[in-house]
Amino acid sequence: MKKQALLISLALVLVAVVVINFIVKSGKGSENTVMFWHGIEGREKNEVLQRLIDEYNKKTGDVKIVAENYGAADQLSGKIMAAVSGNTAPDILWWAPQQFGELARSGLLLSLDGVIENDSGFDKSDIYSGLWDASTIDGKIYSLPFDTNSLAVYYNKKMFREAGVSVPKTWLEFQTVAAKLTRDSDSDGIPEVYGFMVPLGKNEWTVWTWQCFLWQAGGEFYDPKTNRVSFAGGAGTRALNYWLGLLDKKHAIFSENNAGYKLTEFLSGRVAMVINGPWNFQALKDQDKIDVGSFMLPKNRVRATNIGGENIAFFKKSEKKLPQLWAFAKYVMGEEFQVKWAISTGYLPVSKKAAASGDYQEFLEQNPFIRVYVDSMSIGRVRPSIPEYNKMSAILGEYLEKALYKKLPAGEALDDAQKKISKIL
Amino acid sequence: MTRKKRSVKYYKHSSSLAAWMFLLPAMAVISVFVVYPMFKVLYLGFFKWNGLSASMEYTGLANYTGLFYSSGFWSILWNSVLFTLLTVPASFVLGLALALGLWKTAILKNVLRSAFFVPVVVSTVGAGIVWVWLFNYNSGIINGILSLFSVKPVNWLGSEKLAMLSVSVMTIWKTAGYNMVIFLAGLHSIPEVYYETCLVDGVTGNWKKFYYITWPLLRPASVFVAVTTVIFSFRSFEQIYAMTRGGPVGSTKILVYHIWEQGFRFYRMGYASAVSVVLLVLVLTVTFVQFKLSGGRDGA
Repeated sequence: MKKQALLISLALVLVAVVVINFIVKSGKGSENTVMFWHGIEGREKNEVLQRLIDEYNKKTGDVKIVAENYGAADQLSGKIMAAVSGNTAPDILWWAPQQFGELARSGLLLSLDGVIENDSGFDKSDIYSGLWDASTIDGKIYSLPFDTNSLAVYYNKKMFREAGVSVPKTWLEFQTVAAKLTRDSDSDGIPEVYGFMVPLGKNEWTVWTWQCFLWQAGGEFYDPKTNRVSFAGGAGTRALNYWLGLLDKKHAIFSENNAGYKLTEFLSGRVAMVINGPWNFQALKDQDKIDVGSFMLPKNRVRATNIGGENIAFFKKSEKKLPQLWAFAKYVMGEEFQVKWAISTGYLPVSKKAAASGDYQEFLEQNPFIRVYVDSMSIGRVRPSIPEYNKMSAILGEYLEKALYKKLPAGEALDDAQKKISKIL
Repeated sequence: MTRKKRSVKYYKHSSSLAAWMFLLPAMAVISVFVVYPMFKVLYLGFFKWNGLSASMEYTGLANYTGLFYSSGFWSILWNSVLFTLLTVPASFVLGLALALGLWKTAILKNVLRSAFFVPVVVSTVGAGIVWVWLFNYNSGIINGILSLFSVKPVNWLGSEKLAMLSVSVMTIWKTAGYNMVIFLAGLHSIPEVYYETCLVDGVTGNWKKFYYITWPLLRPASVFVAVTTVIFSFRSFEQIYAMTRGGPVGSTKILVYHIWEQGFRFYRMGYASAVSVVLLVLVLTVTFVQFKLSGGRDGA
């Protein structure tokens, strides 16, 4: 009998432990804390962020910003869904602005036009206007620029010297330079060094980089006024055929599938030029194998690059904390934070004042590599922040891949992609 | 000392109460994480829902009809079947071969058994990343070794014709060790006396012994291996996610990856749920057929 009672009570304890654990977990967070979810990669960058947040917390006192890293950004949507249904969503979320569309249209985010207009202490024009375009969904601002970047070309300085070439400015020059940089010393038809690397795969990286070439060729991607895509046709075909031409002549190599951003081939000296962003600058400095320079993407009809970066948005359930959230956002967008953050991470400042500040200008003086990216901001365009963007990008990526794999001619692939995208818009 | 006499019924009742109490945590966990989600998925398959919004739109069978009329779905289904055909028999045979090889070997038995079992323990994503390096077109070790024999580099993961094969090779490497352990357990349960009888009856030769004794007596293990590897194969996701993301040109996109992409990348929870239901029905059917073919449930 005693044994039975013991067993039963043991089982009850077990159940109680599980239940209490759930209750304790769900009660996390309080009035005075602000949960800030971000997916910033790299230990050093995380340390810098924590330091800047600690400084802010010390200054303000009444509210505590708690930063939590959510890990890989492409796994975030599932976490958000779970958090929303379990009512454990954070107050502030850091993500690519194109990703906020679905959240905004589901009524989960606070629209911020009111708070921006009513705060006379905030100068909206200090932030690059392209970043506000990316923050706008269905005509309303739902997120605020946190950091930004653009695309340019990394080049291997030693290879440029050896080939006797200088930085190319146009598509034609770029093509010639790529040809001169390609080396096949044993003439087996497989070069040891390629001039350029074309991103392969159907993921966003391929789409993001290809859009630059589309714009350079004089094309348009999307018109928010008519809600239409228009990348098919002359300019798009020219842009895609430009890549295919480099590949056909074996002056360019494919990147690893779905990993156009990887620097393995560039750092191992297999490739002389790659398209990439400013965020690797610390890692590039720390490696001593290759002397890396950067130059603006070459122009065809016009110059263009694609602006990226991350924004922060506020969840609607945190509306009561709006004054505190807005104060933190102003700190983040302000000169002090932006200069420190940009200098230590390689991200570009979102604020013009920060970009023009003495400290940052001095940093650019010492790091001409980054200056190219800051200069590129003036020719930068943005992707539309509509909920359909993910799907649009996936469809276009699929057809770019088909063209790169020669399953379809460039023009036909783009026509098909445009038709398919038009159906979902 | 007096002892109260209890009825048999009392003891039965009280001990089953304790049993129920012990089962309760496990049952709670299973109902929350297995039973409830299963019914929820079934339910969601009839809705258009983005996973975030508070409102859902009832669309009846639209998700299912949409799925059966889309050519994309059929090619994904075929990819899943192809992946299963490429991995299951190979992993089965390799597992059996390893088990037979290491059954009675004395030298380094434990070392070798552990070595072949290690891939099972390693996380699939981690192993996937390692295999991406091995398969790398420009600087991977596999192409490096091939180049020693003057073979031109092969684009293992970047070619639509080879990518599925490459992912399958990794999967076979990952699962063969598990099958080996099941087969070893099966082999050790065969009484030695049968083999001794063979000697008496004049049955010699390893092949005959295998055919008349080992193989029939291994049936429970074989059925178990066949059924579980088929289920695992249809449920595969991690290696595709880590190695190819379903590419190139959709050549390695299999059902679970499709479910993840539709549900979590494109916020089409209803559609993704419908595909999940199809997957469930498919796996149940295949498992049922396997049991039937192998002669009923006692096989496992």
